[in-house]
Amino acid sequence: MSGRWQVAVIGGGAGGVAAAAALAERGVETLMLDAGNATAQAPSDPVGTLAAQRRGESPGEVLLCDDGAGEPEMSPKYRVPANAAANARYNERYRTRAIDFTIAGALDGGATTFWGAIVGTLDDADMADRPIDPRDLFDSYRRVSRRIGVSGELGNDEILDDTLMPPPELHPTTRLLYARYRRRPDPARRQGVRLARSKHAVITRDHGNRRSCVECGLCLWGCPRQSIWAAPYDIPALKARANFTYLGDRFATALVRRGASWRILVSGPGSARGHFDAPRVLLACGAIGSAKLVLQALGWHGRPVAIKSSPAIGFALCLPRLLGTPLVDERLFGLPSLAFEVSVPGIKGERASGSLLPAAGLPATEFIRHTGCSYPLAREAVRFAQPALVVGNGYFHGDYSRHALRLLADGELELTGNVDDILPSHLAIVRKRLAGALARYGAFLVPGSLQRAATGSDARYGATVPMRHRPELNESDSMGEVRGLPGVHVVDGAALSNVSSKPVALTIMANADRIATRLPL
Amino acid sequence: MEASRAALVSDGHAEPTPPDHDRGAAPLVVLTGANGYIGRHLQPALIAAGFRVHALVRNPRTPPPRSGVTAFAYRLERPPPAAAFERANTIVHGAADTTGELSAEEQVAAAKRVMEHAASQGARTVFLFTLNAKPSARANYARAKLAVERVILAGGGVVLRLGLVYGGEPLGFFAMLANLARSAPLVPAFVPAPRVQCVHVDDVCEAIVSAVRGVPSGTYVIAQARGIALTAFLGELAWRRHRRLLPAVPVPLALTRLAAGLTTAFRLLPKYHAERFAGLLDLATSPNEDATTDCETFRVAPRPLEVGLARGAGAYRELLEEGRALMFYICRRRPTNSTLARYARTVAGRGVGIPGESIALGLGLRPRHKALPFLIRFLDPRRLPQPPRSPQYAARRRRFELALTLAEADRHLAPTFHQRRRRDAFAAIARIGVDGAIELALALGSVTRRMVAKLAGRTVER
Repeated sequence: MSGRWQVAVIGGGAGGVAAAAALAERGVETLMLDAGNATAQAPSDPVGTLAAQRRGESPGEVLLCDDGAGEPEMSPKYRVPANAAANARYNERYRTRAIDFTIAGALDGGATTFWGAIVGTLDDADMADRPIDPRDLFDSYRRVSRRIGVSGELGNDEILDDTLMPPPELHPTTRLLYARYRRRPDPARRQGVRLARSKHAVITRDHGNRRSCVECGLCLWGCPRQSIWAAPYDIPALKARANFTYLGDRFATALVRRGASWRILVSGPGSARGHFDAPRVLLACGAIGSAKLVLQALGWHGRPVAIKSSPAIGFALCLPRLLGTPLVDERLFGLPSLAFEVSVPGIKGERASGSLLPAAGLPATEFIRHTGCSYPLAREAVRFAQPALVVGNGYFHGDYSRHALRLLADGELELTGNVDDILPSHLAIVRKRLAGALARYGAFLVPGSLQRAATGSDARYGATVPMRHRPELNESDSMGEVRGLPGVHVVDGAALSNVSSKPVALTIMANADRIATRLPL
Repeated sequence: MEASRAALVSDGHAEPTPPDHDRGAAPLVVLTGANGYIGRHLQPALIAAGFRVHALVRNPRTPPPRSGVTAFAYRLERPPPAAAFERANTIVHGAADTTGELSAEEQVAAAKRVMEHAASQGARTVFLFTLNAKPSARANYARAKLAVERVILAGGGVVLRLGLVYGGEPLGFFAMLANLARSAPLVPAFVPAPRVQCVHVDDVCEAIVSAVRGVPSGTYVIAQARGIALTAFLGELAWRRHRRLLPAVPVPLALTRLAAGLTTAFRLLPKYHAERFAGLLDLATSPNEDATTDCETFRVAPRPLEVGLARGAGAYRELLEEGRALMFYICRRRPTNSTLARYARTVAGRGVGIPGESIALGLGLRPRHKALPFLIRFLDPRRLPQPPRSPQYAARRRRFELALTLAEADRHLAPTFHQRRRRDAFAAIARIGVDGAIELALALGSVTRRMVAKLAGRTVER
């Protein structure tokens, strides 16, 4: 098969869908090759609510899912990064070998199937080492935001403001914390700590086929109303266009130059093999997958290249005023709803960022597992404390990571994890400032709860084929075009010049949209 | 494996699938005593492993042979049918006289005849017998088997010494024990208590299949490494199979020896029963076999008694009860049946134990834990102080976490994880206080005990 398509997009995740949407808009003949298979599914109503389940009124099976290996598991989204079965398939496909590195592989449809749906724009400071003008992204940010549907509070992001839907309600814990902060923000600001409401790729008004959030609390078990955006939801609409072809169950294994065009070798469906030709190829199979294809096409075997990720921390906060209160909130939004930022001059990226999630949105089991006493006592203690707990995730700048990615001669991909030695001391500074500031608002860091996540488990991989002003081999220019591979563009996290501590999903999508809109044909 | 095959070839014995004949056809195993206790279970195991089976039995028509099995009439005291041995790859000699009618010499002669047929076909012999075959053994059966072992080893065959085989369809010796467990009003508890090493019949079959596939000539012990008192075995059997508590009366060993002597001298029992009684006494009075077994050679992990004794519906019921006890322990309330079913299915289906293993590692719940779930606190993998990390610890922890996960999603138990009314908080504080104090006290007690034990140990060392 050749000659039919002007552009082939490899990967059906966030980057791939954003690029394909822009191309389809331009009327370009586009082919999308996806390792998963996105089929149209109508949204449905959730089975009861989390509150009803907790009262014992609705069948509990809704909380259980299969961990992929036959054992029931709670809360798929929350546990996916550590889910061995999900990652095993990823590692098998990409033939990865990890050393001191936890690969949080993606499921079909990319990392968007399990993310926290937090979106945001990057500011000038974040974009400092990029070869693109931040203003070039503004239109793309807004286009993507309108397409996927974003909700959030007005007034803290002038780029997105006019695209936002109203945000879901805050939980009593985060509402109390945020109200106290808004009343008296100075003590926090003196420590460099800022709080704001998170923006989410969650719709609070019906949007296309997807239905609005009803705050049932079951966010972490998958949203049957499809209020939380995921890349596969966008594919049926694309398929309806005459100039777009979607082929699922096709895993791209290599890129080969053939005259003026590229030949993409694929495996699947099943054990079948095939190939597709296109003059231009957009790589969107994730920072690891895209890098592997690029390294293979360049013939770079055995040479380590950098891969960045945000070293992550997890912690718990307690608001003693809410200890022992009932946990039967009828309406509950179960995703992280408050964003925080700790600015510290001198640390990499000048700040650490993260988000706060009310513990009410998580199963009690998650907390009982982390206590150090017998199960019945732990159940009683968590029952008492959970209404007052807030769980935090924090991220550090990608420059702290010192990971390396190496394509071995036998086709395996080796990932070696490492972090900068300075990270623990910078972490201690951030911890002190954050804990000090939040304590002023009655939220206390639970002793011993702050822990660094396993290296790599943050799943924010990027900058494997970074955009540079003057790209070297295995780097890309401002259009994501890989040096040495004319016609091959990287449009996913691999193209990021760096990994910010802030969520980068929307920026990846906006960048893919920008490249696809301006792609010369 | 390669080394063992090389050894077999150099010994002049055929490999399991000799290339010269029957290329493409499934290798043939001749099984004597195929209708015996082990033989009945071995037939399907061999067929499942891809062998053809020629079954040598006293009556080739009852029961009718299953598919893949050809039955031949055979009696120990007569020459075996030559046709059955044609192109045989392996002979499994499991036939033995359990009635006491044949003398040891006659049984040895029978084994020799089988060996001759094996040699003529270049086939290897695997011979089975029980651990309690000692020169001093009372049962004719056991003495004969010991004599046969020598013949087999001299001919380069493989000998499998089996522990007390139990489980599956109750036949033979196991049938007698099962009857005792079902109907005996009480059983003797011998003093001092001798121990028996049990092994489940399915584990035995697995080991035999491995032996048929090829191991070097020699004697191998297939049994659980740890012995158990016969009385305890009977007690477990009575509880797991029939929910009976079997009272035991202490009996000095010397007295039983006297009784055995009297039975033989005065022919108090018919010959068949006398033979069984002698076998039981041998079993109960034999010293513990060396705890090192050869299960690893065969890659067989003998299942623990509590798992082996509860087969099929029994095993499932066992898991249901375990789930109910665990969830009651955690939540102090009874879960719904569908949650229990899911617990049992998960544990039985995948084995929430050590990855890659079956449910071989049991949780060790006893009847008392089911009656009084708060006693499970002493098995709780996260009690204070924390027990040492071990494979058992990991397996146990995964079972508890499974019970916890399922409990929170259970309609009856979910409310115990979350408070509904503000005023419940005071009761909650009180409960946490009391429970915490108890746990702390238990932890302190346990730490003190460990320290005392440690100090005492040191003193002795000095």
